[in-house]
Amino acid sequence: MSSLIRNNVTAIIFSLAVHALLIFLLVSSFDWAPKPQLKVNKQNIVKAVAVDANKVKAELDKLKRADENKRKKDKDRVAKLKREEQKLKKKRAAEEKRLANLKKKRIAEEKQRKTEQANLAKLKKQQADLKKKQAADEKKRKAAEKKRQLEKAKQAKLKKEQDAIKKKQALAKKKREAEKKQRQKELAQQLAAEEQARADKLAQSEIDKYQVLIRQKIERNWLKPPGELKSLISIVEVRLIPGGDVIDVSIVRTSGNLVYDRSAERAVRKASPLPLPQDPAIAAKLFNFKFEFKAE
Amino acid sequence: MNHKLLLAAILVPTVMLTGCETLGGQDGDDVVVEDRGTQADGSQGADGTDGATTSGAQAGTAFQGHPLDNPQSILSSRVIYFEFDSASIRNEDRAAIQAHAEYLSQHSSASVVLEGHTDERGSREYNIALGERRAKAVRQLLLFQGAVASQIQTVSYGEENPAAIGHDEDAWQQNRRVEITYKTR
Amino acid sequence: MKLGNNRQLTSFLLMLALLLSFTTPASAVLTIQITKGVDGAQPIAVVPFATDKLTKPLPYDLVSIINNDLARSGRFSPMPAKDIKTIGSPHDGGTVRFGDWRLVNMDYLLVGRVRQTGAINYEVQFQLFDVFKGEQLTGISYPFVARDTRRMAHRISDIVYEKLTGQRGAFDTSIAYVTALAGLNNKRQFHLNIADSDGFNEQTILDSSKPLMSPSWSPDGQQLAYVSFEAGRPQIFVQQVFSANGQRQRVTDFPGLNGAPVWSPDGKYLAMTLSKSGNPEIYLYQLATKQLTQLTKHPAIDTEPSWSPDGKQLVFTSDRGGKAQLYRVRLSRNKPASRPKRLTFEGDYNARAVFSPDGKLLAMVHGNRGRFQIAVLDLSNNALQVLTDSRLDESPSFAPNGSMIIYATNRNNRGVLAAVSVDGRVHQRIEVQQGDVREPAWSPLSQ
Repeated sequence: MSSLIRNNVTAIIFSLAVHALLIFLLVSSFDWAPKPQLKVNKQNIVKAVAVDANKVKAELDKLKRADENKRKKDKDRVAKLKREEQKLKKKRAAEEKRLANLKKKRIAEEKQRKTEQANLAKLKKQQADLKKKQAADEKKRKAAEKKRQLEKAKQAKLKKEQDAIKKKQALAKKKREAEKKQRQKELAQQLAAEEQARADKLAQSEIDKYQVLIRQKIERNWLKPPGELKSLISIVEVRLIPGGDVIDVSIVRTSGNLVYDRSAERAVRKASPLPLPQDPAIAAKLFNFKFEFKAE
Repeated sequence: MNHKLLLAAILVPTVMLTGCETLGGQDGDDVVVEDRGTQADGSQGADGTDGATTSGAQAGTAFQGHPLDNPQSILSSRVIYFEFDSASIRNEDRAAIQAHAEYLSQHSSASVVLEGHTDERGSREYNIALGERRAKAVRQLLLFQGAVASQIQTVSYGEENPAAIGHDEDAWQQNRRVEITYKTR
Repeated sequence: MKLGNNRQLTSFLLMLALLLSFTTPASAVLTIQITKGVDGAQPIAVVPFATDKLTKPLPYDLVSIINNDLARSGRFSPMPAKDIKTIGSPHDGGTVRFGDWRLVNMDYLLVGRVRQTGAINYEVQFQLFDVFKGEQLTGISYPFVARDTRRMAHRISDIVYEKLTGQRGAFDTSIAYVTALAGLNNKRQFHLNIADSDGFNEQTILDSSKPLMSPSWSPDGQQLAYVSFEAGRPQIFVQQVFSANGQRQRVTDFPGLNGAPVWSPDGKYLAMTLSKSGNPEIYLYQLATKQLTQLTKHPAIDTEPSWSPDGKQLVFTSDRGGKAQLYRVRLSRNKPASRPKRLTFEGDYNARAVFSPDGKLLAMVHGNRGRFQIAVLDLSNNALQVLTDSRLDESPSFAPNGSMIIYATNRNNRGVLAAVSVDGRVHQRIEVQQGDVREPAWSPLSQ
C-alpha cells in the first residue's frame, strides 16, 4: 500500500487537487445570494390594532389616492421622460440628418473638386495638344518653306544651267569655227603623234620581251644555296652599259642571310652580259633596274 | 597485338619474380665464362663419376655416356627460339626447358649459362636488352620448375653473336635464340 | 553627326594609302622578280699549290685531300685537275686572271704555295677568291710539320667551307667505329678503330676476340667510352685515345647489362644502361665520385640515352608503350626533373636517338613495315623526315657541325658506313678496307 502511494504520488496529489477544486466549485455554486426578501422596514412594522372600519376605509382610500397620485406622478414622470426621450431622439435624428447633409455636401464638394481637376487636366491637355498641333503646323510650314526654297534653288540652278548651256553653245559655235581652222593644222600633228605611240608600244613590248630573256639568264646562273630558303628576299640593283655588260651590282636589300645574298649577286655577275634590245634608245631604258631574288 | 599480350603475359610474372630475385641476390659471382670451344668434349662418365651409365646387358642399342651428351635425349636440345621482338617462350620449347630444369634440380652441382641473342634488325643496345629479356624468360621457367638461382647465369649478346650470317628471315630466325650452355655438370 | 564620321574615315584612308605608296619600292625603277634557280654544288677550282721548291716533298698532296673534302660535303663541285691545267696555274693573287676562270664558270678559286722552313717543317700560304666579283675572300698562311700534312689539308678545307657556306667545317675531325673481321676457325676478331673523317689513317685502339660496342666520344675529343665483352659479359670502359699506351679504365661491372655509355656535354657524367635492379634502366654515373643516379624506374626496357647539347634533357629508347619508342626526361642539376614524355608516334619502332649539335633535331633508327632507316625529327614542329632508302640502317651519329649524319648500313652483305646530309639531299658512301664496319661515332670539333 505504501509502495503504491509512493509510486503514484503525483497522481494522488493531482486527484486530491481536482477533488478539492470540484468541492470548492460545488460549494461556491450554491446560491448564497440572498433571496429577494421583502423589505422589512423595522420602523414600519404594523402593530395589529383594532381599528374602525371607516377609518380603515378612509385610510385605505387615502392610501388608494396616494397610490393613484403616485401612479399618476409616475406616469407623468414617465411621460415626461418619454417626451424628453423623444426630444432627444429628434435632436439626435436632426443632428444625424445634419451630419448626413454635411457629408453629402462634402461628397458633392469633393465631386465638384474632382470634376474641376479633370476639367483643368482636360484643359491642360487641350492646351498641350494645341501646342503640339501648333508645333507640327510650324514644322509643316517650315518643311513646306524649305521645299519651296529647294524648288526655288532648283529652279535657279536649272536656269543657271540653261544659261550656261546657252553660253556654251555660243562658245561652241565660236570654237567650232576656230577649230575648223585648227583641225587642218592638227591633222598633220596627229598623224605624227600616232606614229610616236606605235613606236612606244613596240618599245614596251621589246622591253617586256627582254625582261623575260634577262630573267631566264639569271635563273640559269643562280646557284641556290641549300637549306630552307622560303621567306628570304634579296634585292640587287644593277647598272648596265650598252652591250649588256653589268658594271655595278649592289645589294640594296639584304635577306638577312649572307650566303643567300652573295648567291644572288653572283648570279647577276655570272649572267653578264645581259641580253639587251637592238635599238639603243629602247635598250637605254634597261640600263638601271633591280632584281628581286625570292626563292619559291 | 598478340605480341603485346604475350609480352605482358611474360613480363608480369617476370617482373614479380625479378623483384623476388633482387632480394635474393642475382648472378652475383664474377666467374669468367669459359670459352665454349672447350666445353663438354667427350667428358663421358665412363668411370661412373656422375651421370647414369647403362647396363651392359643390352649391347649396342642404348646410349652409353652422360645424359647431357646423349643426342637422343631431350637434354641435347640447347637452343630456344623466339619470335621477332618477343621474349615469350613458345609451347614447343617448354618440354626441353622442363627437362633441363629437372636435370638441374637433380644435380645441384650443375650450372648453366643462358646466352640471349637477337637478329640484326633494330638498334644494337636495345637488342642487348631484348636478348637479356629472353635469357631471363628461360631462367624464370627453369626456376619455376626446380632449378636453383645459383645454378643459372644469364648474359646477353644482342645481335653481336649471330648463329647465321644472312640478311633474310631464314638467318634472322636462327639468331633469335637463347643458348643453354652447361658450365658444370 | 554621321556626316562628320564619314569624312574622318575617308581622310584616314587617304592618309593610309598615301603612306603605303611611299613604302613600296620605288616604282620608278623597274624590278624583275627571280623565283627560280638551280640546285647544286658550287663550282670551285683548287689549283695545285706550288711545291716545286721543296727539298723534301710532302707525304701527301694537300690539294687532292682538299678536293676530296669539298666534294664529299656535297656542297661543292671541284674542277677536275686536268681541266685546271688548261686554264692556268696561279699560285697567288698577282697571277690570277679572273676572266679565264669566269669563262669556265668557276664561282671560286683557291690557290697557294708551300715552302720548306726546316727538315720536317713547312709553311703553307693560300688565297681564296670570288671569281665573278674578282675579289679575295681570305688569305692565310700556316706552319705545319710533315706528319700533320693531312690535318693541314683538312684545316684548309674547313676554312674554305666556312667562308663559303657560313657554317663551320668538320673535315678536321675523327670517326670512331667497330670492325668485325672473320678470323681463323671462323672466330671473329673485333677492333675499335679511329680514322680521319675521310677514312684515312685508320688506327686500332683496342683488339678483342669478344664483341665491342657503343663507342662514345668525350666532349674534349680525347677519350672514348665503350662496351666490351672481353670478360664474357658486357662492361663499360673509358680509354684515352691519343695517348701512347692507350690508357684505359673499367668504369662499371654491375650484374646484368652495362651498356650504352654516353658522355654528358660537360664531360663529368656518363649516362648508361644498367639492369642490376632487375630490368634495364637509365643511370647517370658521376666519373669523379663514381656515384650513380637512377633516372628511370619502369619494368620495361629503358636504354640508349642521349644528352641534349645544353645538358638539360635526356632522350632514351623505351618499350614501356609496347614497342621501342623515344622518350624524353628533363634534367635539373643532373637529376630527373620530369616524367618521361613520349616523343615519337610514327612508324612502329624508333630507337637510338642522337641530338644534333644545335639541339634542334633528333636523328634515330626508324622502323616502318619491316624496314629500318635513319630519320630525323624536328623538335620544333614534330615533323619526321626519313633520310635513307635502305632496309638495315642503324647507329646514326651527327657531324659536329650538324651538316651530315654518318650511320651504319648493309651493302652487298657487308656492314659499311655511309653518310647523308641533314636535309637528305646528299648521300655519301664511305669506302672500307675489310670486315664488317658498324657503330660509327663522329668526334667533336678539334679544340
